[in-house]
Amino acid sequence: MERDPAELIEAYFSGELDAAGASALRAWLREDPSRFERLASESRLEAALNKVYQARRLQGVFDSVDVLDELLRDAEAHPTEPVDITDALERDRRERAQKRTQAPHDISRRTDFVIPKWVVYGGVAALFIAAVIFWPGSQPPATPPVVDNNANTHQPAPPLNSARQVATLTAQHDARWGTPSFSVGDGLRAGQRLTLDAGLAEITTERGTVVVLQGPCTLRLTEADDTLYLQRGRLAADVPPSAVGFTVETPTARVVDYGTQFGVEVDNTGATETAVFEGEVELGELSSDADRPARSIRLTAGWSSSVNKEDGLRREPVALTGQDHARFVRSIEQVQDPGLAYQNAVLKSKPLVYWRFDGETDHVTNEAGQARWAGKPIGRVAKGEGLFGSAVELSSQAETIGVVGTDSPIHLGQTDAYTLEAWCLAKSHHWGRVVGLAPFNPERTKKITYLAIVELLNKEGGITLPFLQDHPSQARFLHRNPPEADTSKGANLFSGKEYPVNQWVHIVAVKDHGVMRLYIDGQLVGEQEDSQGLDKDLPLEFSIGFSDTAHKAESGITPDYYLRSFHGRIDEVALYNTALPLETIQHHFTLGRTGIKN
Amino acid sequence: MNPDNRSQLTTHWMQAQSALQAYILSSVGNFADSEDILQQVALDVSASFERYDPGRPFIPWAMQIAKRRIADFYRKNKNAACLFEETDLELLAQAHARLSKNEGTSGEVADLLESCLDRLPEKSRRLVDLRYRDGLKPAEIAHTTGRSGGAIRVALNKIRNALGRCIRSGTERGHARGA
Repeated sequence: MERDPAELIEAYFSGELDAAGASALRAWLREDPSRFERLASESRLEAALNKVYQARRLQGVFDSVDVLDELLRDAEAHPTEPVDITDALERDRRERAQKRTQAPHDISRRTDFVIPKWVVYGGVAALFIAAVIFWPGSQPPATPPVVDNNANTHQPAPPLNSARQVATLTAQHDARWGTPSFSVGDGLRAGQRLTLDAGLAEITTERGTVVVLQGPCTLRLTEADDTLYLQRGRLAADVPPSAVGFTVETPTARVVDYGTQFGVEVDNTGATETAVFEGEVELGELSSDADRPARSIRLTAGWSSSVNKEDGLRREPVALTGQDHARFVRSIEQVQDPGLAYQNAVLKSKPLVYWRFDGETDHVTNEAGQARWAGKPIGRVAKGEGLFGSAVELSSQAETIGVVGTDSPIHLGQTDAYTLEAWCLAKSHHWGRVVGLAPFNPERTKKITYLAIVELLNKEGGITLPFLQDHPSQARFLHRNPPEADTSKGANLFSGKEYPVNQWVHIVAVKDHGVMRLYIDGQLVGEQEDSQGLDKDLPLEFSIGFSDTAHKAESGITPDYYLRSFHGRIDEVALYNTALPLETIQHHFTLGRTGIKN
Repeated sequence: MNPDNRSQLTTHWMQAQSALQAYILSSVGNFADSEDILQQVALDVSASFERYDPGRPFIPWAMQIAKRRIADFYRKNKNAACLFEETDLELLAQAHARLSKNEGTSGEVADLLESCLDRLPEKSRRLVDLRYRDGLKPAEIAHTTGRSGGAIRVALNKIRNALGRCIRSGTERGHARGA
């Protein structure tokens, strides 16, 4: 058989077995009858695993004496109906599913009531058959049914173990611990206190939330489900969908997550600040003032707010700044391997093109190692020092021009948005193209026209295009649809001030439906409405630092300004078919900046 | 049913239940379906208990009753995961009956499984939690972890086998101690 029988058996138990797989499984079993014993053995374990986890859920259902009591009283009152706890299980399952998606996370209920194991592991059917035996339609028993299956040989299930493991220390960087100290791989238990005097530590909770602690920081892992108590210091949390409801409590506040990345900082007075990088949290004040009900606020990505003892919750959220992004270390990778952290951040936004100019192939895209659109150089391409590795070195010499994506046409797809992103280091104020999107033109025979350009202007603001003269030494973002329209058409956005030279600059141009935005170094420097659409079916090419050699041949004009060759270095270039939000751009800038060498 | 019979049935049932459920599960693939069928089998066994010959082993007798309910299930669910024929079901029943002789009680197995789960490495434990606590299918887990569905299924199977070895060694130690 071609498929691994282990894989087939798992597919069978998890409901993923298709007709071909079923046929393969039957054939494998019948080849050798002893294989039925393997299936039998695996099924026993599969059943046991399901029951262990079911039992844990039941512990949650019977979280008070009252619930079980109610079931038993109900059984007495309706003697002809079997006791059925499946309704309670189903209700519990629905409530948990709802809690995961909506309501603030409740601190999990502790159970002081102990359910005899024979009830739980005997399973639903045990209770059912007990009911069948003891209520066959005749007189109800005076007392609730008890099936005495040598119950004295089974120890009652222990109460919820307050020393259970709730997280693991998964990484650290230059960490200096107070007492006790920890090593990577250590299990962390409920109730445990962590004092990190300096450096970074990453802990991962049982549900998969990754928390990066920045020393100095004091934290306690609570007995409550997926809840940390941050007494002092700073942390950033990345919460996967399976852990929605993850909560951080502080001396003054409670932050509940709804599937997000966020940071919390607590100062010496207990004042709490929360910044949301992605998703949404609920920030609530913890008020001991009986006259003032506790208030809370929902914070979405790009916003922060705070709570302090005197004033409670700040009513108006504040937009995140670049400094907020820089303040919170969101992954240890950021510090240990900033190039990788930057790459992962870019890939998370699913770029269509991502050129890093670091390795042999010079490009990384979101298809794990497979380049979707390869860059192909025109002329010689030199390399220079880049942010994290190499960058492409371009000059206005005709022989060393640029890199063009010409393997195959790029299609933006069904979108009304795109983002162009690059880091560039200009050697002087000159007129140079950073990145451009143009109709696919592999033969280089037609004059280039552009759908979008990001370029730097010279001191004159451009000779042949007078309307650029009002913006000397500024960055320019052009969007023109259709690209073949004459050069007086299209919408232009300018940076408003001179770009620095001999310094790495992060430029991001966003076309977001009816709006254009330009960002320099993580700050919005220009924004305007633009009603030109986007021809989604147009095959495009993506280029950097490109010169218009076809036009040069046609017009006979050779000056630099017409060539618009970039003079300097370009690195970490990306094209997205979405509009990157401000907080993502700020995050990229924060991470990229760590690569700039003095 | 007289009280003696009731008591015997209860004892037999408690001893046979996990073998029966595993047999049903191996025949239909889905745990929730196996629970439903087990409830029906419980009723059938209770109704037929007067016809049971105490001189013969209980589990194979109950498995014959279960086979009828499995056949009903197949009839109603023509698209069920893997439909076995009569001979397959018989071979499965025999395999389960053999296995049930050497296993501990369901409570002992559950205790051992709990402690074996605690000893799993963290990543394996997380995978098991995603599958059994959060109810995610391997394809869904694959989506969140960036691995393929096939790789997740194979990993889960390896973890289950490791748990099985752990339980068996715990059972053997228990028998050796004469527990």
